[in-house]
Amino acid sequence: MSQSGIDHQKRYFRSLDELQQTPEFEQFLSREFPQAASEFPEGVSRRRWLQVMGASLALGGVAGCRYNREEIASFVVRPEGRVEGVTQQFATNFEWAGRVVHALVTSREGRPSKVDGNADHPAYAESQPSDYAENKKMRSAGADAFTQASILSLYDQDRIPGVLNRVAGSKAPERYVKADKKADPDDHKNSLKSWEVFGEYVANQRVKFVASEGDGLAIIYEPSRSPSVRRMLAEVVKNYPKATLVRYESVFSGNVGKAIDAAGAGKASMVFDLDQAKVIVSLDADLLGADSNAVHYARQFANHRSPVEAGDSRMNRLYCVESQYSVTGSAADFRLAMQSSQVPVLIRKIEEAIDAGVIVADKQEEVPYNKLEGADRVKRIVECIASDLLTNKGASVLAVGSHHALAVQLAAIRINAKLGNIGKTVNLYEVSDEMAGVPSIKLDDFVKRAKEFKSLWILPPNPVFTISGDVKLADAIKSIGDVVYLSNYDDETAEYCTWTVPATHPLEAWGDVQAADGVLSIGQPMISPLLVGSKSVIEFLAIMLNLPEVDGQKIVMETASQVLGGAISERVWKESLHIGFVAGTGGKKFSGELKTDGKSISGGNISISPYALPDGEIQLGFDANNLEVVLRPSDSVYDGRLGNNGWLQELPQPITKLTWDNAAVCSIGTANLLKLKQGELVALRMGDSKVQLPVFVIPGHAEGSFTVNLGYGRSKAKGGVVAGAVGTNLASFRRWNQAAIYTGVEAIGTSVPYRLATTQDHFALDEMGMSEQAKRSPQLIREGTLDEYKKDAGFTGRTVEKHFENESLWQEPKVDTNHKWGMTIDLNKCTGCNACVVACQAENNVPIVGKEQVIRGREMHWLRIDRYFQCDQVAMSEAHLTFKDPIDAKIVTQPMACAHCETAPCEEVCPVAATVHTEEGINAMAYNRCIGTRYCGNNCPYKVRRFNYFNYNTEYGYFYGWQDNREQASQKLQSLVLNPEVTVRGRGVMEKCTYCIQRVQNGKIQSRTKGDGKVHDGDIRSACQEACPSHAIVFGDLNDKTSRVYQSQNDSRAYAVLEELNIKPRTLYLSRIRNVPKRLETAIQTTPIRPGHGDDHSHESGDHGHHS
Amino acid sequence: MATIASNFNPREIDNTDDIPGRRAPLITGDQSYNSITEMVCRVAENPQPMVWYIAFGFSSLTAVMFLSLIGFLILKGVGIWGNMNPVFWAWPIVNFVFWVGIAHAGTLISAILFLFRQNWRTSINRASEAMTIFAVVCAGIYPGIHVGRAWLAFWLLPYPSLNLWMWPQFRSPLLWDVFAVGTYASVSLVFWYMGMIPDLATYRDRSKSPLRRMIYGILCLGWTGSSRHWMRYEKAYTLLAAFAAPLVLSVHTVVSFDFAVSQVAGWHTTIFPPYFVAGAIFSGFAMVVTLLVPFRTLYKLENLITLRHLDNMNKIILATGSLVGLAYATEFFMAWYSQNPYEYFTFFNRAFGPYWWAYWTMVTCNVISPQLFWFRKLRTSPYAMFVISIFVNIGMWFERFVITITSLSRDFLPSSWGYFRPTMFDGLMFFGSFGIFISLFLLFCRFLPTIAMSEVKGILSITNHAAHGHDGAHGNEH
Repeated sequence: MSQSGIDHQKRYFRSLDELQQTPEFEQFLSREFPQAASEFPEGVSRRRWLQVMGASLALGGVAGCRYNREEIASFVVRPEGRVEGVTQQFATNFEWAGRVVHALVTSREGRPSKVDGNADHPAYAESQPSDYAENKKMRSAGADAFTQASILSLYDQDRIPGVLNRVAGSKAPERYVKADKKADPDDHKNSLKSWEVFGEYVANQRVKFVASEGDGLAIIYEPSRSPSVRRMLAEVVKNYPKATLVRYESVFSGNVGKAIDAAGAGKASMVFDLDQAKVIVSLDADLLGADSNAVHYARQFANHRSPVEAGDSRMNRLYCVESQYSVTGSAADFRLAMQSSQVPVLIRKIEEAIDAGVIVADKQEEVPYNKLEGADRVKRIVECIASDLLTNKGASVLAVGSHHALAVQLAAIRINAKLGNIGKTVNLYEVSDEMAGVPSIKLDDFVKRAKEFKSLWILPPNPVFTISGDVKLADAIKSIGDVVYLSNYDDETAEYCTWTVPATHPLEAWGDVQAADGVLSIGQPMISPLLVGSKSVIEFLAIMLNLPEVDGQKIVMETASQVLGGAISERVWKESLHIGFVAGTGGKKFSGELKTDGKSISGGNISISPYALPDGEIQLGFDANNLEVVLRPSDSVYDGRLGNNGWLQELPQPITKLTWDNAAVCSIGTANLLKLKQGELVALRMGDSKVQLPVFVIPGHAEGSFTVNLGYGRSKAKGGVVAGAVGTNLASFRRWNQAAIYTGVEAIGTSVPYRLATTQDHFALDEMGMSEQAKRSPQLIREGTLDEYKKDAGFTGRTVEKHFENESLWQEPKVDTNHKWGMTIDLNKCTGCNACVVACQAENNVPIVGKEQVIRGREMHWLRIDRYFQCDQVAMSEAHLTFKDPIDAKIVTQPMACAHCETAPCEEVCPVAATVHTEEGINAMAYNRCIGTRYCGNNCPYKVRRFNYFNYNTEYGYFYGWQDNREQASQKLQSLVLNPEVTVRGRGVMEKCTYCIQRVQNGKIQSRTKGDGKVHDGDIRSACQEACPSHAIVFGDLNDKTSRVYQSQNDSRAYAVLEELNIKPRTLYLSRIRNVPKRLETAIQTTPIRPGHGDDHSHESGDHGHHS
Repeated sequence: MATIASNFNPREIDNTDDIPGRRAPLITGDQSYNSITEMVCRVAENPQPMVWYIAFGFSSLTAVMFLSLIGFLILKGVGIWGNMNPVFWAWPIVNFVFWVGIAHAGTLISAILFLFRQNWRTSINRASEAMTIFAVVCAGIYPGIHVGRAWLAFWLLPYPSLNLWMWPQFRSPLLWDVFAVGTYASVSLVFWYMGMIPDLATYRDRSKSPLRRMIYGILCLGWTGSSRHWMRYEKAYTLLAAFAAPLVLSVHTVVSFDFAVSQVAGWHTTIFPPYFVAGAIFSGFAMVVTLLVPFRTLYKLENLITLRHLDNMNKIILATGSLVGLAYATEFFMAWYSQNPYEYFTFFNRAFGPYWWAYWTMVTCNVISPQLFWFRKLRTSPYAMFVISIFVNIGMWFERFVITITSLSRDFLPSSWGYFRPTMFDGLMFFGSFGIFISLFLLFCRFLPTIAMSEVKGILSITNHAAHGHDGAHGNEH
């Protein structure tokens, strides 16, 4: 009983007898049948029988006691009013793939099924659009794709079901073997063990540690934003003073913290307030995409993307300089493609210009920006950035990517300080530091000193996979005898570990996180651990340390008490769980003076000469001797830890639209000059680092630069059903001392073909296809500059020539008296971040299909984000360039789902009436009636219909060799993620977006049962709308003149894609307006080619629709 | 007996000359009622040549493979084909239209040429009609197995169901297709069968085995050859011909609606109905030539299916091939003239986009190769016409491929463009349909009257009259 950590459950007594340890009960426990039962043949006395039955009854009755002890406060629906079948929502918070999630989890009968953002959390509440304040129902927090997909990882079929034991030196098994199936003599060496067996091991270990004060014990940990985790790690050092903490961050961003520290703000987190910023300069910082605060930033950014200046609404301006094309780049008003390795030079030039006080009036120049060459071009950009920053002092932000060097980080802080942005648009929030004074070493030091250690605990997910190739972590682990690894999977790291302890998913455990602004946010479990015995980091550490308190909730409460500076009361605790954060907490904003003069540096052990930024000319063109490779975490699988999440694997990466793979992404020019071809392997070399990757060509990528995503190339056996055998492992290329940017790289093309799975035609289109795409995209995604909009607010409608009103062949459905559902997507707000795509997948049970099927073009996403390139066609034709080498290509994105056309082309061709119009104008699918002629798919001009070529919902990986790996039981586990309100489609039927018809129905029912019988604006929100961080998607009733959707559809920017087909779609788009500085306008932006513009044609078609 | 008609080399007689004032003989040799009966009946009565057994063995195996693949398809799902988003319709539909097109020649020859009193049809109409039926069989298989849930394909029929009181959706061209192809198949079958009745009676009368006699006896519905029978037969035949004639035009018109009524650029054109019908006749005649050239040699029927028959068919191939070529040109003109950017791009893309190879294969085979028939020498050479007719078949398959797949692969939104790649199953199942077709045709040769004896005999007097009336011209024959 002393090993309280392991057998803590025993403290829940099963009966009063157990509590009193009566002899009867002891006997009851030790014998299979109670005494009376075995005496049965001799006859049982009535008294004895009653005793035994009473005991059984007590046993049965108190079995559920445990669950009552951990109460989860409900968020919306009171527990006492709980109705079966009605979903409940709970607030929780957790760390997920390098970011903090403030979530609102939808739970059905105790089963979490959807994760969205918590709109009440201070991180989001303060960044609500001002016009949403009057209608609380419209508020939503949004979430990123990782958060949306986190629910699938909970039901991952490959999570290890128990403690996994490997005897050192024995052959690693293909898969773990259940202890009861002993076919192989080696099995007993590699098998699932019970917690009791592991407990004995831990007890023995502890005796050793206590004796040696932890000498020889190392713990690899990941820097965490959870105060409890930090506290527990500090606890380790308190208990075992000689233990060594090893800090390891798979995606290194430590330079930001170091720079803040060096600048004199201590331990603080830097958070931008884009709500206040009128000018945002992003240098290789993917603020709206990969940044850990991306959701927050996207909301703030989108709040000021209205071209109509009124009250709070205005247009901010986003400059983006980057090597790869990022989400931020595609949303930017002005974007420059430049090698990441030149960012230090650029930032130096910007700083020099600011110091010199360069302010240039913003007026149209004689030579348009894109006709400038090299140095002139850079000069103009720097001038524009500097003068915009200087004229918006205190209302501007300059951000650099967290992967850049310390000197660059310091320069950014310095510039922001010079502009007076600190405390206004750039906030430094004090972060509580439970680990202050606790020493730690770096992972490479640990590997070098591996011989000094006898025991190792590994906390971060899969370091053997994520580590750079020159650090031989696997060998180090092998040389240490006792290795305990807390993990979800039997992965590459687990292979070398003696014990692998199952880890909980954040939705299964208690935890806490500190929000970016320091607010303490509690994470509560949504469900008991699905795999019995799994432990969260804090529980695991408590058990390993033999702490008196091993209960997650208690640990988190204790941390909260410490943060609050006194015991947290039951009432405050429950309230905090209810709202998702502890009110009254929050980091202090740094308000002192930063040490930015360049002379003194304080803070810890940093001693560098940070202001020596390189000077020189910025080379925008291709230079074969100066190639670089930039390694970035994947937008889909992060560092690989989300690799087994099918939704994310199949999520088209925002710009490349690549799924199930990583690739060396480069520009067209670079590919041509290096003779690289799309879909062929390229060998990248730098010294003894080398790796072979498929080439992916995209216009607008910086010349001479390759971007490669981390997290791919898991081994087939270890990667799990989903992650195995896709992509390329970069370990052989990565070097410990280089975080992200590798210069002086050699790239040699091979002609080895490689099949890439993209959901959109990759760039290897033929010339004709490219030129047609370039011709069509300005009509599909209508775009103009702010100047143009101000001159002619209705230019959007004149982008397409319309000659006369078309008549319908068929009678159109009458919808006058009903609801008239519609949707508007504001392209000016949409960043193309993919959150809506995963949200739709989670809400509507959209299956994944696997890499082979994506190559076949059979992906099932109901909502996709189309990406087009736009280029200056006039300039290109003047330069006699073909569309294979577009210049100044801009990427524009457009979410595309079923537009619910009023005269739907799909409906009239269906021979069995399986797709029909509802009275409310929703183009509905009757799955049961569908026989799969696929005619509707052909006739849909948007190609948003999806066909189940196979039974994708039960099997996937067709023709890929691993479709059989899914066991029956695993399928059942995975199917827990399904939304019971949406039909699971079988093979042979069509499916598509339904405007979340289940939500529409629920909203109508709610309005009848709870409301006044009317559906109000905001009562019904589609899944994509709810997930959208930037409020770009609005859904509602078009018959309600006050609804936001009605108003937005009557905006002068509203247009229908392919309106000339007379299909009358219910989903309209608002055109994109870019706030381009006049001096940086390209020729096409200054004189856009629009039908009805300037020439005689305007008299005929300018007033379209009113004459015929 | 059987030597009467084949004791001369038919190649020496050229009945393809049209000498003014003289009527060229439709059948050659000094034919009598008896010799015709002998020639036709021995096809079924004599033991089949070795070639038949080899061909049938091969084709029936292929047919069995096809049927097994259908089973596999229903088991696994239509995903085994290469169909994708956006090319939701691919090879199965291409094959369907291909076979339906081929099915045109038979009824055209029997019905329309009959109504126009084209006597040369008599030697070839039976085999062409049979070919029609078998092509419809092949065509009919595809739409049924093409749907995602083949076991529910019967929902396309307007049948009264007890649990779901609803009709199919009548605005859908696919439904029109069901009716059009269904009507065409049933009328063609009746027409074919009715025309065979007198000949079946001949087979019955000549049968030596009682079983054969019984079966043919049942099939010929008690035909005695009485003048009353003949009178009713002729009336019914004319009526059916009149009924079938518009179907020749309607069926492929309706098939073309599958495309023309949709709004996919490249499909949505008004030229499709005539263009499809011309193409169908073109491909149908080509298939008839492909079949009859080896058929007449194998069964030594050169005197009945003479070079003049083949020459006539080749002229029709030349005419329809040129029509098809004109249609291609018109489509291009309209794509440019209409100034519809989507349509313009679709056609431009067909010819010069990623599917250029399919387009130019189509043009070469369909437009250029039949032009060789301007040369009389090629028109009357069985070898040349066999090769050209196969080219036309290939070209017409590619025409459907080009229409169906290139239009779908690049439609309105460039984000959804795709490139279709067939799978092994696409290929095997197209190949397999030929197994069904050839097997059925071989069985037809084996068991049914392949040439309409009674009708050929009907033109015998004309031929003989023509031959005898101009002794001088053909004196050396006697």
